[in-house]
Parts: sequence; C-alpha cells; structure tokens
Amino acid sequence: MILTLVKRHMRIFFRDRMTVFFALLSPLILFLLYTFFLGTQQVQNIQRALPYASSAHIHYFVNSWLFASIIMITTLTSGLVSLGTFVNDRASGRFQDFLVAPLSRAQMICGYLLSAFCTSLLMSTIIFIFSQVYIVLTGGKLLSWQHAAVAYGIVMLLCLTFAAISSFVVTFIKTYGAFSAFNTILGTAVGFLAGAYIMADSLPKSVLDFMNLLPFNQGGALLRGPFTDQALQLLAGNRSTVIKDMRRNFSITPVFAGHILQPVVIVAVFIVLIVVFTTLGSWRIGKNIK
Amino acid sequence: MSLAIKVEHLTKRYGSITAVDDISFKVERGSVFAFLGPNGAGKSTTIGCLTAIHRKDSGTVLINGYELGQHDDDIRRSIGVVFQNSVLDGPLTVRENLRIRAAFYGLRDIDKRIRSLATLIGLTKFLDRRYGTLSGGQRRRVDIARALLHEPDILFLDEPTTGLDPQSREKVWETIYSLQAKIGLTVFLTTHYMEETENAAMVYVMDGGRIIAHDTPTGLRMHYSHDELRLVAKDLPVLRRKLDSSHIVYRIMRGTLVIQPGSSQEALQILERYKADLRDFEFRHGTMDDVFLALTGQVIREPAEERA
Repeated sequence: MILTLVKRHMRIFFRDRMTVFFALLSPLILFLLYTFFLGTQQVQNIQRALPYASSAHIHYFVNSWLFASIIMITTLTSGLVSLGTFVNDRASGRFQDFLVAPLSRAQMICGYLLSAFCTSLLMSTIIFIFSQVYIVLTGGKLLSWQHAAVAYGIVMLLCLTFAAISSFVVTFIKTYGAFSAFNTILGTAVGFLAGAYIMADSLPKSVLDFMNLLPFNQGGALLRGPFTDQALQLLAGNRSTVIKDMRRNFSITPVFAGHILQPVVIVAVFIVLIVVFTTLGSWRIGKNIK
Repeated sequence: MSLAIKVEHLTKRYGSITAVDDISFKVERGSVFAFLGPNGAGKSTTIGCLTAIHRKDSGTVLINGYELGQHDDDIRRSIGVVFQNSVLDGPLTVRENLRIRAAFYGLRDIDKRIRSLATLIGLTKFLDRRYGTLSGGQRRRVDIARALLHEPDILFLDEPTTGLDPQSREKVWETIYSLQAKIGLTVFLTTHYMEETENAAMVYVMDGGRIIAHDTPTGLRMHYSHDELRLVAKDLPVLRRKLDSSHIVYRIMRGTLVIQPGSSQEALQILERYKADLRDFEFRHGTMDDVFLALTGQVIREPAEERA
C-alpha cells in the first residue's frame, strides 16, 4: 500500500511538466550561467594561477566541479518540489479520502517521505548520467567505477538528507502559493549557499563560516571530491600542494570554522540529520493528516 | 441484524465549540436516511465521526455491527464515503484514480471491478479522461464509483449535489437510488436541499449540533407544515365578508387571501363554494422548506462558493 501511495505521489509530480521544470530550474540556471560566462571566467582564473596546465584539463576540471554542484542542487530541489503533493493534498482536504480507507497514518507518512526520496534519486540519476555524457563530449573522461560508486553513494545520501529535511519544512507551509514562493527563494539562494556561483576563496571568512554551517556547501564538497579527483590529478600533475590548494579554494575539502574535516565526518553528520529530520518530519506530517 | 448504524449520545467538540451535541439515532439496513440542516449544523462533523475520520469525544457508535474506536479498519472496509468536495486527483485519469484507491483496499481483479462499476454508474465514456477536466456531475459520479469500489454495505454522502446544476443533480440522484435498489445499499446522506429528503425513509433535522426533529418526510410535513390555498378575489371586500360569515380563517398577503385548509378535500369544498367570486387560485402542499422554517426559524442558506 505504501508503494501504491508512492506511485500516486510520483505520478502526480511527473504528470505536471511545469512542476518537473521548476524542480530543475535552479540546476538549469546554474548550468546556463556557466556555459555562457561563469565557466570562461573560471577557466581564465585557473589558467592564470596554473600557467603550465592544459586548457583541456582545465575545462575537464571546471565541468566536473560544476556538475557536482548541479547534482547536489537537484537532490535538494526535486525532493522538495515533489513534496508539493503533500502541501496540495493538505490544502484541498484530500487526506480524508485516505483516512476513510484502511490505510494507517504510518503508511501515509512513509508514502510521502519515500516518494520525495525516489523522485529526487530518479531526477539526480538522470542528471548524473547527463553529466557524464556532457563531460565526455566536452573532452573529459568518464568517472572511474570506484569514483562513480562513491559519487552515487553520496547522491543517495544527499537525497535522503534533503528529503528528510524537506519533509519537516513543508509541514509549515499551508498553501501551494506559499510553497512555490519558498521554492523559488530557496532555489535561488542554494546556488550561492552551495558556493557554486562564487568561489570559496573569494568570500569573507564570516560568510564562508555561515555557509559551512548549512548542509548545502558541505553536501557539495562531499560530491565534488569523487567528481573532480581524476581531473585534478591531470591538472596538477604530481604537485600535491597545488592539489591541496585547489581542493581548499574550490570547496572540495570540507571545512568547518577554518578546520579541515574528513569527509566521513560530514557523512556521519548527514546520517544524524537523516535520523533527526525523518523523525521530526514524520511527526509533523502525522500531525497534519486529519 | 437489521441495523446498519446505531448511534448513542455521540458528542464531538472542537475546543469550546460543541459541533455535535449528544445525538442518538438508528439507521435500518437498506434504507435511505437523511440528515437535514443548514451549513454549520454539524452534519459533516457527524459523518466525519461515523466514518472514523474524526475522533469522537463521547458516545457509542456501531457501524455494520462494528464498534467505532475498536474496529475502525473493519468499519472502513464496510463503508463508502462521497465527500462534499471532490477529493480525487485532477491530474490523473479516472481509471488511474480508481486503480489507486482500489489498491488501498487490497482488492484483486481491480480492472474488472472498475469496468463493472463504470457500466453500472455510466463512466465508460470518460474513464480515460483526466478527472480534473470532467464536469461537476461527471466528477460526482466518479466519486460515487470510488466510494463503491470495495463493495461497501453503507454509503455516506455528504451534500452530494451541492454546486451541481439541476440536470446533474437529477442524474446523481438517479444513480444513487438505482444503486440502492439494485444492491441494497444503506444510504446515509446529508443535504440542505429539502426536496432531496423526500425519498428518504427517515429524516433527521439537525441544527446547532443537535437533532431537533425526526420523522418520515410525510410525518414531518404533517407536523410542521401546512397545505395552503391562495385565492385571488374578483372583489376582495366581498369575498372577505363571505369568508368571515362562514368563520373561515385567512390572512391577507399582498392582496391574496391565504387559507390553511385541513385537507385537500376541504380546499376543494372552499373552491366550489366561492368559485363565482374568484379570479384565480393556487393550492400547494406543505413542503420540507416549511418544515425547516418552522423548526429552525430560518430559511436554509445557500452554500458558500464551492471549492474546486
């Protein structure tokens, strides 16, 4: 029965082309911005800093880095937008139709959470595949199996984390109009908060510290690791200090309040977030089903 | 067991407001039972309690022999509910909507069930159209099909025709009554349209969370409404003098004499006796509108704008 609910929620989401488009809007904007001017700027900056690096390698690195951010944002926005079904169901009194059927509250809660997770995983997987095609077409290389496996594991972790957080947040939004406004604001802000528009090294320390408190740049950093590893090796050759600096400046190394963190710490924090927000989200959704 | 529903001292409060105030009633199996009352009378809340959507505060409720609060899932399997607002999914087709709901009940042979319901209720033509694109009347019939998917014994209808045009209303009632006759459903309906209670076996009039009267429609009309004979006189003072001398009680409303005869026979006799003095006349039986007016001192309000 949970599967029936998940299918129902997902079908409603994918049936409306505009909703799907809006779920992909922020990733799309980021992609277009890079294609048209941010990308060129980035390439020039790296060229100045590393004059010996080949242009092909720099492009490979920038594209890999960019797609890590795009996929991270997709895991967030698509899960969140798919929970619009919950907001709509509540606003239109549709829960009653579920409540007269022999469905339990727990099944209904699981239905929403799982559908948010499945939707974001499906969308991110599509963008993941697209990223590989794009990178190869623009002269880069496919991710190695090991890197791809780690990256996909992180994508799943991000989908779970953001679906859990979103499930809690949406219960405070009463109308679909407010929900759309919230999505627009978050979609715009997340590009900045994830350090995708502006490099970490060009931001004031206090801003960076604030950004690193939030899960967006940290999630981005986790994913940028496996995505940029191969490109960075090619770009920097054997110069380990260059690799270290690049990883720091491009928010590939997770940092918190000036301290370098091991990725595993971020993973642990995200697992805690998943547990906490799944609990909170379930409690709030359950309270709202009446 | 011949009772489909048995309610004793049901009470439901929202904060300091008592929406349903100590009501009791019984519904015979296979009958049509109507709850009549203005908006805010507590009809929908009562349905909400009986269908295990809202938790009751006190009282005992037996639905199909199952006690509410103890065997809610058994109750859910034996009832179907048509809500005041359309609650199916607009972006999905009728068939998809019905398939999803059928799966909630763990039904087998879902497609076969949908086909037979579609024939029974007349949905075949728009089974693969999106629910959101249907007319109000078509949507209502889909709602009824959804409520009947799992072959319930009792069908609850909460103001099923509100917001529909007269033709669609007629069609919806035709569907409901033919179902009741064909499959022996117990039908529990709420309405604020008087004429829709005329076919019910029992009518309970609700106001302010309480039941203020109950009887058959005929009984209610007999007790709380009167037949009316309206006479338009050729010469009003002349006819008044004649009526006065025969001690016939009347009142004057906008130049028309209004008499409340004890029976249609009595009305005929009056007409016969004074036909030479009449320009025109009108006779009408008491209606459920009169009943409601007499009981609650108010005219039924039209519902606020429907939510789509």
